Amino acid sequence: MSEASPTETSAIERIRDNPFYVLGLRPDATRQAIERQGTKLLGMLELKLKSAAAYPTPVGRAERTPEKVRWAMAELREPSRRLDHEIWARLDPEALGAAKAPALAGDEDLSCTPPRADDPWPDAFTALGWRAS
Amino acid sequence: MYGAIASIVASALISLLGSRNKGPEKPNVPFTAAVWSVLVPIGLILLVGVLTGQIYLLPPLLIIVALAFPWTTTRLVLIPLGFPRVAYWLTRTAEVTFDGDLPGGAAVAGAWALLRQREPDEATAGWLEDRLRPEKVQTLGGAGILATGLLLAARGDREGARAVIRTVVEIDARACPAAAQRLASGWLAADAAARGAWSEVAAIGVGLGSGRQAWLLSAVAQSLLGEPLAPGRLGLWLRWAVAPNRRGTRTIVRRALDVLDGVYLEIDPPETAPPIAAVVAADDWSNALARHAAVLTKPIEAVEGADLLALGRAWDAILEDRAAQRILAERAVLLGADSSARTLARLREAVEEDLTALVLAREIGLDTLHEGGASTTASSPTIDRVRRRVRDHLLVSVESASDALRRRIDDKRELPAVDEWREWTTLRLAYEHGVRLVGQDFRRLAFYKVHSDITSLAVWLFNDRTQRPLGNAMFKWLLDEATILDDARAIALQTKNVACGI
Repeated sequence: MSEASPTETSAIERIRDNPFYVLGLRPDATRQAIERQGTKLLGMLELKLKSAAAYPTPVGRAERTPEKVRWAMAELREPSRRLDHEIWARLDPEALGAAKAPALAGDEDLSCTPPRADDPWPDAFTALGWRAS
Repeated sequence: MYGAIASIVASALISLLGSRNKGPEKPNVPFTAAVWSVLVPIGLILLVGVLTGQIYLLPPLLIIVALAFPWTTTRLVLIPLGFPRVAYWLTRTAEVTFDGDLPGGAAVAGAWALLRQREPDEATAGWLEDRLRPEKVQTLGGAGILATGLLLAARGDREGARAVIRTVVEIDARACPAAAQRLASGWLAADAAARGAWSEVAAIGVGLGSGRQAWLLSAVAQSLLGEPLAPGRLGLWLRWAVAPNRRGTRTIVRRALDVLDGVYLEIDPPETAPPIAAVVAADDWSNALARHAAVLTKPIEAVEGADLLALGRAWDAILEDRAAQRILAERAVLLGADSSARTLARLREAVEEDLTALVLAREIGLDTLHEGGASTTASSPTIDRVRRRVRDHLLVSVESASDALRRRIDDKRELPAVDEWREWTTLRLAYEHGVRLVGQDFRRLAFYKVHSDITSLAVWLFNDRTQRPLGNAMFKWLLDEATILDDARAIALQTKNVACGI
């Protein structure tokens, strides 16, 4: 997968860092449920439980940190901001499958494709004397 | 003996002080003439001494050989060893190779040697840049432009290097030594091969005039692309034999030969990412969001105009739908949010920004954002707004660059010739990027803005700043654009300007 441009990254982050996904909740969650889930996740993260360290999103798995959880709880307390986030969280986090996840380190794609005649020649500069080997 | 030394020193001074672009019809080789008429005979005597066992005569003999063949020595010894300053000074004597732009040629040698260092030395890069921006006005030629590009490459800015080096061929041949043109072609071919842009490689080295390296790579590219007129085995080996860096190029020649042997049976089109249409969503909201997420996670090179068109339609179903707006308004009341209209406006803004960024990043032509191509009009309001955003963004970037240029010209704020050229290259790239994405409408709109500003810059460089080759190249570009737009007045003006030569 090619590296994402900064604009793409911010667009992806809008979905990946959505407070509902961070908290592992759906948009219809009540305010009490949000507070309860946030507190529970903070406790789990404090205990360094692996099950709380990552969360699924439609654009791949993402890392969950205490700062993110606190930020998510604060975002959802404000009605207008919550409405914004509800829209982007309408999609089931598992809808597109985990196969699309580029987010976490260690998730490298290990599949190999057969070489093609017109593959790039990354050593061109070195082989042609433009750069030191 | 003292007379000979005095003669060489005087010739060197004449060469250094008088190294302006004189053009091939006025050869300017006083140092070379002195070396060959005075030092080479002395060298022959030293050679006899060395052959008779007087080894102490070897160092002066080697110095004379280096001065007699400065570019060969630089290319075979100093550049591979990564000695930029020595390479620079020795190439300052390569009057025959870089006739037309000797200071630029010397900077090319230095920059190339710098590229060959494992960690390019920043102080030396700065020193070379100072050579390209001398206090005394010096006419910038094709070799100087190539050196600028190589310095950018040494600093890791390959895209910037590519943009600058591509312009070397546009400099009039009288101010662009053939060696600089060949080296530029070689670098561009290597760059395109490294990116896998084999069609570009094939086009760069069409003839031996583009240099042996680019010529070989062009043949390799034609074979890799399976072109019917690609050279056969003999042709490939022949080009490999005459090209430099034979050990390094053997791998890619073997790949080309494997294609001829049928090892790669068929060049299939690149695998496309799974179709986004496979996403089945229960409602319009989920459909739009699923498509949005799928497009964002697709590799950028796999995103097509059709994907964006489908995504635009999916968002239309929400952004243009009253029922969806009513649901959002009800939810806003339930939550106690101030206004669903603002939320909807923010959503629209975010969607359009994402789509615009994708169009710009993927360089998708706006004519592909129509159903059935450019012949029909887009039926998606979202895509229509994205098209307007893309066009405005591109137009604003060209206009602001052109305005900045105009203000500088009006204020008579001079930049070194190298930086004038880079500024012009940036403006021109923005213009050409816009034309590529938006089409002829953009060309028409942008040309009338840039035409007067670039003409002013070119006239300033040409008349007042002794940068006639740069001014001439700009006039030629303006003439080409005016011809495409069939602008009779601009054609007449630029034809007259181009006819002034360099």
